[in-house]
Amino acid sequence: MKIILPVILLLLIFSSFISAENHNQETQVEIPGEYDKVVLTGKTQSFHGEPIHETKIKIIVNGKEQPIITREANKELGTEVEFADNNEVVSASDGEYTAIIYLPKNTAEKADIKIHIEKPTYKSREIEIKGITKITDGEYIHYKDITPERHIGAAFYISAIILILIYILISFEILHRTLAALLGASVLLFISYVFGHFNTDFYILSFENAKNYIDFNVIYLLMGMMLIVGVMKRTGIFQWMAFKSYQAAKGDIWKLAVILMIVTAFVSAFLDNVTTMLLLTPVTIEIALILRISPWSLLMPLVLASNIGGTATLIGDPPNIMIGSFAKLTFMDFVIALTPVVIICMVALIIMMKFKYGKYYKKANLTPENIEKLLIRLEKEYKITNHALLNHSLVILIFVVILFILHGTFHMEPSIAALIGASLLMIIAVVMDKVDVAHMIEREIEWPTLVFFMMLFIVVGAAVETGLIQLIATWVANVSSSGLGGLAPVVLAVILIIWVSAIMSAIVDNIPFTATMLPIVAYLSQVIPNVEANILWWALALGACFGGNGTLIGASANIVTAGIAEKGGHPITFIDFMKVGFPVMIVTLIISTIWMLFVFPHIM
Amino acid sequence: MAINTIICATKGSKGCKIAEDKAIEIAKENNSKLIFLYVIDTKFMEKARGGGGWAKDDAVSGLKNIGGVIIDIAKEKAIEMGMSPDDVLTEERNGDIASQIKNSAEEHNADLVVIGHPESDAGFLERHLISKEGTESFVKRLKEKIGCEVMIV
Repeated sequence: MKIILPVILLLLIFSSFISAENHNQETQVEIPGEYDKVVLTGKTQSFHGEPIHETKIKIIVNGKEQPIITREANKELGTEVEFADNNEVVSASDGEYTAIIYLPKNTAEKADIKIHIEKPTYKSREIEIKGITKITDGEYIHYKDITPERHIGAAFYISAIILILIYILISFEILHRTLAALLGASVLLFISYVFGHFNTDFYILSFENAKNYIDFNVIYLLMGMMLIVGVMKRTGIFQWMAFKSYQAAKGDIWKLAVILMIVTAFVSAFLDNVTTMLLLTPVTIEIALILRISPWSLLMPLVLASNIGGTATLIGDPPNIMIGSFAKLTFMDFVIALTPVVIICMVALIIMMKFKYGKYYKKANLTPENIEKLLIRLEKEYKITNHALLNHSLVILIFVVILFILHGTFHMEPSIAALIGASLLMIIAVVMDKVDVAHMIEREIEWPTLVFFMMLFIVVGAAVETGLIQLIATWVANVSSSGLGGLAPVVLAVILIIWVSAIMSAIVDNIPFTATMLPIVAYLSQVIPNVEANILWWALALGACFGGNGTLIGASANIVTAGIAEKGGHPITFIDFMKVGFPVMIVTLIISTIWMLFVFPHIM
Repeated sequence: MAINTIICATKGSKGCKIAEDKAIEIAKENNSKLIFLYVIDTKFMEKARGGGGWAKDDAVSGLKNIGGVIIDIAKEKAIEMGMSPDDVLTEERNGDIASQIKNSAEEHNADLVVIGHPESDAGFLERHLISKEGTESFVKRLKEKIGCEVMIV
């Protein structure tokens, strides 16, 4: 065994040298004295017109590989003809390719010309070129759009196994989710370059391609918003709002619960749900403990409201950020399509919570002395810590929200609004609160989350490259078009996306699930007839976000709330959370389905 | 053996309230000083998005306020049950629960530590964290680590 491994390694290195040697052989090219110039151009694209990049193209003339010219000679500039390495050109990111060949004079029209295409995960094939068009004497052109066929091989199975493995590693908490995604992305690239070097069947995606799959708009938007929240929370505004809610409720617990639900949903629509709950949970528990009621009677409505409220805008929840960026939907698109249904769901939540906890709230220890005592305690603990910073922060936040509203008009990515807001706020925080910038950037930005997103985009990108996503999307499209229950394909697709996304998000992390669904929904939006006004994207947003209410592990905000409550002596079991959260999820999904199918088409 | 100082580690749960009652009863019987201890433990944040390191400070300050309420309520109860306010103290510490109970016991020269059984009122997350090493093993480790008499109620 000790000898075998080094021998294999040496063989691998030796063979790679031989291969590299072959690769570097310079093409010996003879240009005919007088020639016909033939330009072959077009696009490599899928059946649905999506560009297929990095397709290797060779030109075969009369059975022989033909040198391809990448730059023609220019007498004025004194430049020589340049030829493509290995007699091949590669299609660009928009799928376009151009191959120029020189043939002996007066032979072009009679020549047997074929285009040979080659791309890992696609079938290699030759396409016969018929009827080239003469432009001038000795100059010909032919447009040929090429649709390569998928090849299900080693790359396909590897990308599928790695994607499934990442889901398993994350769901069963075998590995930290950032490490799981990092491992998956690095293994995919390693296999592509090392194994793919010997056998193109193992080539999954290039490094360049992997970089292109990372959606930096999502990364920068998350980063910007994390910094904005990081500065704002230093002012104590969130906890102060909870204290003010208690003050406004004047000892009426039901009124307090309603005010807190509305405040939480509103804050969650603009800021991260996890931070919102992390800051509001302690003060809520304090109120409940002093009033001698179970903290969960207030926390449950709050966390459910947070997950519902986060669905209302582009920046409310990570799945929305991902959807908005991928589908190029603006902040206002989200507000118009989702905010009304979120408001209806909030009303439904308030009614459900009234039935669930209404009677219980009456048991609270509400002596005037107790109410006053709590008010004094909260006022002391939860006050605005820096008024000047808060005032400036609010001005910047309003400015950022205005930029979000206008980003579509300026054709500006929403991340730019978040980044400019974060930069301005940081400057203000440095001047007014003597903030240590390095510490702030190190502590307030969730680096593991950002790395997780980046690696996840690569893993899903690999599944797109190898055709796995296409396969799933085709299956969903076929199910939607099956006419099941006499329903139109678009109706079936909306129902499927809302409900499957919600149930999956209640069980597994909704971030990898949404990342996987993005290219699937993009495909479905193209192939399903009568899909209008981005309805499938809204279905995905509603399903992925509302699904978080279904179980304790459905959303990070639930986990943080449960963790703090446990440390406050009020643990919750998985089933107890589900008893309240699951019915809320079902009701909000029913409302979403009705809204999407019957109301949305009439208002858009 | 004289019991001069008792530490009751509590987080205000049902199980902990039984431990609080027991500690008050023993303290009254022995005229001991009773310290209610709340340990701020943010291990659960590891399960939050991104490992939760980014928000530990917020979790600590939030739990500090909650802990304050919990130990104040326990103190009120001890006084209501007849203990002298001078004999009831409260303390908050931050870190690993077992280590912090040990540190507190050493600093106060405690003769007895009273705690609720860790599994009696653990929720989904705590069960998950405890199950990694097993409840019995957790209790055993706690007893070994604290180094004085430990009563698990």
